Formats: sequence, C-alpha cells, structure tokens
Amino acid sequence: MQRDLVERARKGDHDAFAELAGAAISRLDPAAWLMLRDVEQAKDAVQNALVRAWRDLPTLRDPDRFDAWLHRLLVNACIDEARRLRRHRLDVDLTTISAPSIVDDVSAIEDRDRLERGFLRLEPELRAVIVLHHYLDLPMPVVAATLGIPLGTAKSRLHRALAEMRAALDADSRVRGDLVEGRA
Amino acid sequence: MTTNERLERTMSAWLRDDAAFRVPDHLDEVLAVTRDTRQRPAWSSLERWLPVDTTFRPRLFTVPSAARVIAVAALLLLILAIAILAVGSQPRLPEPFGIARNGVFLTSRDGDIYRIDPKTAESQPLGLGDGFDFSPIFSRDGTKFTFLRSDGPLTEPAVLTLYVANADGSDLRAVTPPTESLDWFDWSPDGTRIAYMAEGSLYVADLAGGDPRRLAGAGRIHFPTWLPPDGKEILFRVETNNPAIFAISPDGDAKRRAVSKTPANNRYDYQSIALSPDGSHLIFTRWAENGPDGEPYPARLGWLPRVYVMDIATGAEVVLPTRSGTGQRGGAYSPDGKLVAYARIYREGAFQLVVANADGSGNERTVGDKRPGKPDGSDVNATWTFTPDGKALLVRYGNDTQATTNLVPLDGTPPTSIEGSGGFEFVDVQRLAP
Repeated sequence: MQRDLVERARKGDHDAFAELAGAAISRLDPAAWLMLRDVEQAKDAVQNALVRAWRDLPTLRDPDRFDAWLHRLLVNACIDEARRLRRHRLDVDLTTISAPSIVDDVSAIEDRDRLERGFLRLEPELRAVIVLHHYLDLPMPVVAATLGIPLGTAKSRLHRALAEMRAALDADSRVRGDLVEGRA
Repeated sequence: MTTNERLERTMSAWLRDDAAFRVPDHLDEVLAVTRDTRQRPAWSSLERWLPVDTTFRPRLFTVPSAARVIAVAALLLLILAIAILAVGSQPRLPEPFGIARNGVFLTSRDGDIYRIDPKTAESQPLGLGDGFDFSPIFSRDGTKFTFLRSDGPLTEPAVLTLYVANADGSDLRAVTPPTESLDWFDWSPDGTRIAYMAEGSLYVADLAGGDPRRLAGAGRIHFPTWLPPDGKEILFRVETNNPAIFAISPDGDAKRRAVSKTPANNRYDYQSIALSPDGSHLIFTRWAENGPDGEPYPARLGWLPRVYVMDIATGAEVVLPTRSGTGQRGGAYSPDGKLVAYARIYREGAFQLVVANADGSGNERTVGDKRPGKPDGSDVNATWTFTPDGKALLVRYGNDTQATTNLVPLDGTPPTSIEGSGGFEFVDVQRLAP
C-alpha cells in the first residue's frame, strides 16, 4: 500500500503524497520536538523535511526505503534548525496543550526533570540517535542507515549519548544533594 | 539490570510522555507548501550546497631552480636566455591577496559549469563530462578551479567528489574519493592543497596526489579556512556546545591551538568566519539575547546576531557598530581588507547587504535592495563576496532550488544580473594581475 503511494507520489500525484505525509506527521512532529525542544522550530523542521521529501521524491531509488529516507530528511532538518539560532528560549510556549498523561510520584517527576536537563545538554546529533532508537524504536542498524553512518559509529554515538546523560544526571544529583545539605 | 539499561528504560518512557501532543496539527500548512512546490527531475536533486566563495588567490609562480652543474659558459647563457624569454612570455599572475583585476566568471547551474565572458556576458559550457557538477571556485592565482561532482543520478545522501581542472577545463582530475557529507572547502594560498570538511572532520588533499589526510587532532569542525598570507595554519570552528575558533598546522604535526579567547556565549557563537587578507583579523557572527550594550533584545522578537572583529594575535574582540535596533550577520572582507560586507537584519522581517569599515569605525552603506527574511536573522537567503577589483559585490539571492546572481557595484550604479538562473547556481570570478 505504502509502496504504491510512494510510486504515485514520485510521479507527481500530490494526493498520494498527502496520504503519506498524513500518516508520517504523527511520528515526525514528536520526534522533531524531542530533538529541538521548541514547537516552532519543530514545525519548521518537519515542514522542511516534508517539502524536501515531496520535491526530491523522484530521486528516491527504492520506494521501500521511503520511511528511512524521510527520517533522515527529518534528522537533517532538525540539525540544521538547531545550528541556527533562533528564538528566545524563555518564550512562553502557548501551544502546549497537554501535560504528561501519567500521574507521577515526586521521585518520578524529579527523574524526568533530570532527564530533560541531561537531554538538553546533548548535541543535536546525539539527541537524534536517542530519538531514533528509543522513541521511534528503530534497531541500531536502521538508525545507522538512516543517519548514513557506519553501524559502529551509530553505536558509539548512542554509547556517548548515554554516558553524557549519565554524567549529567550524576552531576545533577550531586548538586541537589549539596543543596539539600546546605553546602551550595 | 545495569545502570544503563535502567536509564534507557526510564528514558524511553520519558520520551513518549514528553513528546505527546506538543506540536499542534500543521499538516494543512505543510501540504499547502508542497502543493506549490515543483518536483525535481531525478537527476537534479542535491541536499547540500556551498556558498559563493570568491577568495584571495595565491601566487603559483615559481622561480626556476639554478643550474647545479657546471656547464659550458655559452650553454649556460643560452639556457638563462631561454628561461628569461619563457618567463617573460608567461602571463603575469596576481598576488595572492590584495586588489586584482576581474577575469572570467565561472558559474554552475542545474549540474553543469559554464564560463562567462564578462565583456559580452556570453556563457559557454565547459563540457566537463557526465555528472552533476556545481560550486566552481578558482585557485587564488586564477589558473585552476575546483568543483564538486556527483556521479550519476543524485540521491540522498549525496556522495560528492572534489575535482580540479585548469581554468579552461583541461586536465580534469579527482582529488578526493567519492565522499559523503563533503562540505566547505578552501584552496591553500600556494594552490597546492585543498582543505575540506567531511563528516565533521578536517581533511587536506594534496593536488600532487595521494589520499587526502584527516587531521584528527582538529576535532569536530566546520568552516576550515587557510590563514593568510602564508597558509601555515588552517583556522576552523570547533563544533560543540561551546564552539570556539582554533587553528592547526595543515601537516597535522602539531596540536591545535585556541585562537578565540572569549568563551562562547552559546552554541551558535563564532559562526560565519572570514579572514582579513593580511591574516591579522577575522570577523564572525555572534548570537545573543542581550545586545553588546548589555540590554536585552525584546523577548517576543528573539535573539539578534551581531558581527564582531577579532584580532587574531590577541583574541581581542570588537563589535561592528550598526543602526540601533538592527542586527548583522555573515561577512566578507574586501580584497584590500579595508571593508567588510554583511547582512543588516531588520526587525520587521527583512535583510539588506551593507558595507562598512573593517576597523570598526562604522560608515555603513547599503548595497542592493531589502529582501524578505526573518526578524531574528535566522533566514538570510543570500551569499556574497567582493569581486577581485573590490568595486562590486557578487551576490547570490535565493536558495538551493532557485537563485539569481547579481553584480552590485559599490558606487550605487544599477546592478547587473549574471546570465543564467537555476538550481545550485554558484559563481566565482577569476583573479588576474592588475
């Protein structure tokens, strides 16, 4: 079904592309948000990725690789967005319309705050590996193919990302411990 | 369960919760754009493009070595006479830096490279063979040029090869293997080597042959640029969350050294590097939430970029003055190093090129029209450089899909459009001896 839509879209059928985009955007939007942490930048990145996908679809040799190709376009668009600067980080995000659906206990909320702070410290390329593997559930060989890097490099990036997250979380714990004990 | 496994499990749950419902539906907006976007033919798609880059060209002229053996006096005199005649008959080459005369233009459009006669504006394809060719850049003495080629139909990701040829298109040869994510290259001042970035690493290719060498000590980099006037070091921006300007020997036999002294303001700092022709200063773009006076920019409008000048020897920085409430971005030095050209950012959502004194004493003058852009300066769809004679800016307005290139005189006379307009259009101007 998807292959047929891709074939039609490659030949200029915009309705077919609209179906493909409609099915993909529900996973592209959250992935872009995770990588950029900014609604407007995420929207821009997704739009850029989909516009490029439509524009360059005739160059896609293997229709079965559409999803991987689209993920790669998204990652590139997100990294491009992240490298420019941009809007004030303290802008109020008026478009957030839902809180996390799980009711957390205090400890879990603290964990998540710390995860967010650790994640924010990662370079965009490292965030991309985490999002592809841990959010989109792509196996590492697919992550590597999506990013266009060797499998070893992908694994190394994931390892580095986790190590940096771990280090950030540990440092955060120490600071919090110090604050509790009145040393900072 | 290991610590990392616990972290990964917690993180997966957090990512799912955190991402849900963040981005409001915008599919209709996207489809409205794609509906108005023309698809490319299969052969004409490429993700990356390089900016126009007319830089300053080195002298390739070499003095013939002295005779090492004793010969009959008459024969020696004859050899010397022939050598003098040969040297005298060679076209004079321009100095690598400073004002030069404008030569022919090279332009790429839609995958082919053309030579444009500046007097008649007639263009002629160089006929370099198959492949999608773009981004021709002359060597500093104007005798050679390099360009990027994708063999066969272009796909994502792009795999590019750097080629070099004589100015007339002869003696075409590859200087790199097919390389993924090849981007941003610069001729060495003596024209014997090319520095480039691929997959975030710095490489140096020797035109004499051999495999390009990766300078691992540079780290993850961007914008590699040979330091004038002798090219003993390559400057680059270190790509981390705390970017900085570093330099390293092109031979890779020494550690990199820090050039910038001020810690990065954020991870967008130290962008758009350009070096003065004498190698004493560089300009760069800095993004900040506060202006150079310490006053915050209005939050609703976001941050604003400014252009700084750095003394390479001391690391001292000075911000270029500009009109109140406007920003600045990008930059290029004039061939004599007296002027810089950059984009002025207007808060109403526009940009305009200006030239100003390179020493930070102001005297901004607008060049060309205002063009639409973003109020925070994040979208300047133009690249520009001075012509070798320093009398005009060569400006490419547009994006990788469609662009037009204009020659905009600094004296206010009307701009002229360079022939041709299309995708992946790049233009460079040959330097000739004055």
